Amino acid sequence: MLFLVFEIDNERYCLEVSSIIEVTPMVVFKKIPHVPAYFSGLFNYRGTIVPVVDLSVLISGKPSRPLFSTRVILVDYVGIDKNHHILGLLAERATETIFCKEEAFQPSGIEVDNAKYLGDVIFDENGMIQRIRIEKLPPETIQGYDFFALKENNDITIL
Amino acid sequence: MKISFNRFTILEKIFAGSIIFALPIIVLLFYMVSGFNRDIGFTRLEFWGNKLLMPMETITELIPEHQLMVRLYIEGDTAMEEKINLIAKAIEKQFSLLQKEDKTLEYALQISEKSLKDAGIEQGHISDIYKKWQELRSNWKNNGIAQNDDMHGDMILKPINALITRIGDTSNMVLDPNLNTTYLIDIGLLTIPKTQERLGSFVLFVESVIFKGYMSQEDRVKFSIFAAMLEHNLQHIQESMETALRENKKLYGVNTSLQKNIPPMMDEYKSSIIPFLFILNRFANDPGFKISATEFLEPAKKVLDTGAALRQTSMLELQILLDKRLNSFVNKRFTALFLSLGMLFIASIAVVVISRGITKSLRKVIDIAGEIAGGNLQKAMEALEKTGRADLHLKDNTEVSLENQRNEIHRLFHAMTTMTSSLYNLLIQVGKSGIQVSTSSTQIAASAKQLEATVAEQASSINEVSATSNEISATSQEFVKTMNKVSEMASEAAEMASQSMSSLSDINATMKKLLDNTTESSGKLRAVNEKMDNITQVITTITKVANQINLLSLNAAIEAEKAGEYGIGFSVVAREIRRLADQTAVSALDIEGMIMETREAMRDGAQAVEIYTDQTRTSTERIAEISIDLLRAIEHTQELVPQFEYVNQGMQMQSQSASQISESMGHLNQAAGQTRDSLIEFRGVTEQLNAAVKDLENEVARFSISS
Repeated sequence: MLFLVFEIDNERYCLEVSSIIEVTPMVVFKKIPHVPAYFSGLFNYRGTIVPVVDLSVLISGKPSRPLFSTRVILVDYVGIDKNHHILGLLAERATETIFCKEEAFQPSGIEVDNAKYLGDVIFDENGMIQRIRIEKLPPETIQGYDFFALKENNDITIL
Repeated sequence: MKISFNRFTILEKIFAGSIIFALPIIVLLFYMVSGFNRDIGFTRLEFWGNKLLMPMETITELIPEHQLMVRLYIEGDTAMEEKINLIAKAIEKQFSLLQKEDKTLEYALQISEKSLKDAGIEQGHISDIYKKWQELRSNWKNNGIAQNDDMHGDMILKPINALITRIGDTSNMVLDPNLNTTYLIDIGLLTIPKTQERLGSFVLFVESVIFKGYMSQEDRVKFSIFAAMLEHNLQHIQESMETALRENKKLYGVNTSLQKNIPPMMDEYKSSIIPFLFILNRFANDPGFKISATEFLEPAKKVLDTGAALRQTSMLELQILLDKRLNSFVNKRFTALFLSLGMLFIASIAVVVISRGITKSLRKVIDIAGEIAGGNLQKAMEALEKTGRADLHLKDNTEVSLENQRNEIHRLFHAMTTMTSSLYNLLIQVGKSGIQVSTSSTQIAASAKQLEATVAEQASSINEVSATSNEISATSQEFVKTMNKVSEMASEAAEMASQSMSSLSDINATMKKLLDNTTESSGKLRAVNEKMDNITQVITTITKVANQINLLSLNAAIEAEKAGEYGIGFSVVAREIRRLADQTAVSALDIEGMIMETREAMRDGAQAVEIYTDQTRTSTERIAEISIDLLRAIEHTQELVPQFEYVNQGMQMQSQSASQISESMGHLNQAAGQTRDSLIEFRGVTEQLNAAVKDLENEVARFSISS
C-alpha cells in the first residue's frame, strides 16, 4: 500500500493514498467566523466548496507554518448523512510517499479517547510514522465541518 | 480415397445418416413387394386356368350326350336330329369361348402348340381339337355307330381331357393354399367331371343293353358297381361342398353368392340322383325288371344336367373367389407400398426440417461471432438481442440461464451474450482509463516543458551572476593591491612628512585619488548586492518549480496507486521525478545559504568601506589643514596606517567571498544542467507514455462500442 507522509510539529504522520483525491498547494482560504480554531476556512476545489481542517491545530494546537511544502490533502470521507464528501486536510511537509504493507503497522499501545484517529505506527531509517485514520476523527471534528451538523448545532448555513 | 467425415456440414452429415437408414428399408420393401408379386402371379395362374377349364369341362359333358343322340339317330330315331343340332350349337359356343381367349393365357398356362409339343402331346392344341369336331359334324350321318363312338371318344374327349390335365398341372390348382377353393377345385374339376364322364359312358352302355333287349349276370354286376360308385361320389361331393362353405367363412370375407347359389344346386343334384339310384338298384337286383329307353334316359339326363349345373356354378364361384383373392393381394401390395413410401417421405421431410432448424441457428451464431471478430460489437449486441427475442421466443435475454435451458443453441446464445457484454464493459473501462492517462501525461508533458524553460532561464542567470562575481573578485584584488600601495605610500608619506613637508601636496593628491577609488568601490559593492538579490529571486523560482514538480509527482503517484497494476510503471516514473525535484530543492537551499553568508560578509565590507570613505574624506580635509599644520598632519598620517590595515583586511575578505560566490555559481550551473538533462529524459518518457496510450486507444477504437 502507498501512504502519503507529512509532518505536524516535526513529527511524521501518514495517510492511505487510496482515500486521497488530490494534493494541492496551500492557497488563501475564505475565513469563516465563529468556528473552532482547527477550521482553516473554505476552499474552492474545481468548483466544489471544500472545508479545510488544519491537522496541526487539531493535533498540536499550533497552526501550520506557511511553507512551500505545507499543502492541502483532499480526501474522501463519509459524513453523518452517509454521503461522500470532499474534505481538505492542511499539513506541513506533505512531499513524500512511502510504500509499505498493511502488516508492517504495529499498534502504538496508547489510545486516547478524544484522539482515536491516531492509528498504528511503522518505522523506517528516519524514525516512526503514525497513521491518521480519517474515519476515526472525533465526531465533534466531523460535525465541525459537516453541513448538516452545522445547521443543527450552530444555526449556521453554508451553501 | 480417404474422405474426412468431419469436413462435411451438419446438413450433409444428417443426409448421409438418413441414406444409411433408408438402405435396409428399401431392401425390405423390395422383398415384401416381390413376395406379394409371387402370390399375385400364383393366384392369377389359377384364375386363368379356371377360366379356360370351364368351357372345356362343359364340352366334356356335352360330347357324350351328343354321342348318345347320334347313336339313337343312327339306330333309327330320326326325331333326334333337332336335339343333336341344339347340343352341337352349345358345343360350338364353348369352342368359340375357348378360341376367343388371349394367346398370353396359352403361353402362361403352357398350352400353346410349341409347349404342348415339348410336353409330348401331339395334335393336342385347342384348334386341332376344333378341327376334329368340325370333321365329326360334317360326317356323323354317314358314319357307323362304332366309327362315331371312336370319333367322339378318341378324337375329341381324349385330347380335351389331356388338355384339362395339362392346365390342372400348369395353373398350380393342385397347390391351391386355401381350403374353400381347394374343395371347389376338387368338386368342380375332378369329382363331378369324372362322375359325369362315367355316367355318360354308362348311359351308352345301358342304352346298348336296352337295345339288345336282355341282361346278363355280368351286366347286372356292372349296374351294382356303378350305383355304389355314384353313391360314394355323391357323398364325397356333399362333404367337400360343406367343407368349402364352412372354410369360406374364415377366409377373405364370406362370399354371399357362393353361400346362396351352391346349396340349392346341391339339393337338386341330390334329388335327381336318388330316383336314378333306385332305378339302377332295380336293374341290379330284379332280373325281370323291364324299362323303356326313354324311361331310363330321362332321369339319367336329369342327373347329367343338374351335375353340369352344379359343376358350372361351383366353377363360377371359384372364379369369383380367385378374383377376390387376387384383388385382395393387389390391394395389400398397394397399401403396403403406399404406407412404406409415405412414411419414408414424411421421415425425409422431418430430417430436412430438423437439420435446417439446427443449421439456421448455427449460421446466425457464426454471423454474430464474425461481427465480434470484425469489431462491430454494437452490431453484434443488437443482433444477439434481436435473435434472442425473435428466434428463441424470449421477452428478455436475461431470461436465458444455463441452469434451466436444455437447448444447446439457446445456451450458446446465452454464452455469446454474456461474453459480448463483458467485452463491451471491458472496452469501455479501457477507453476511460486510456483517456485519463492520456490527459495526465499531456499535463505532465506541458509542466515539464515549462520547467525546462525555467531551468534554461535559471542557467543563463547563473552564468550572468558568475561573470559578475568574477568581476567583483578581480576588482577586489586590484583594490587590495591599490590599498597595499596606499598603505605603503601612507607609511612613506608619514616618514616623508616627518622628513619633509614637500611631499604633503603629493599626499593630498594621492588622498583625493584614494577617495575616488573608495567611492567607486562602494558603488561596485552596491551592484554586487543587487546581483545577489537577483540570484535569491532565481533560487526562489527554482524552489517553487521544484515544489510544483514534487506536488505533481505526488498526485501522479496517488493516481498510479489508484490505477492498481496498470500504474506500477508510472509510479516508478513519478518517484524518480520527485527525487529529482527534491535534489533541486536541496541544492537551491544550499545556494541560498551560501548567498546569505556572502551577503552578510559583504555588508560588513561595505560598512568598513563606508567608514573608510568617511575617514578618507576627513583625512583629506585634515591633510589640507595639516598642510598648514604639519605636526598635526604627521600625527594624523601615523594614525592612518592601522586604518589602512583594517581596510586591507576587509578587502581581502571581500575577495575571498567573491571567489566563493563564483565557486557556488559553478555548482549551481552544474545542478541546473543535471535538472535539464533529467527534464529532457522525463519528457521522452512522457512522450513514450502518450504513444502507448494512443496505441491502446487505437486498439480499443477497433471495436465500435457505441452506435
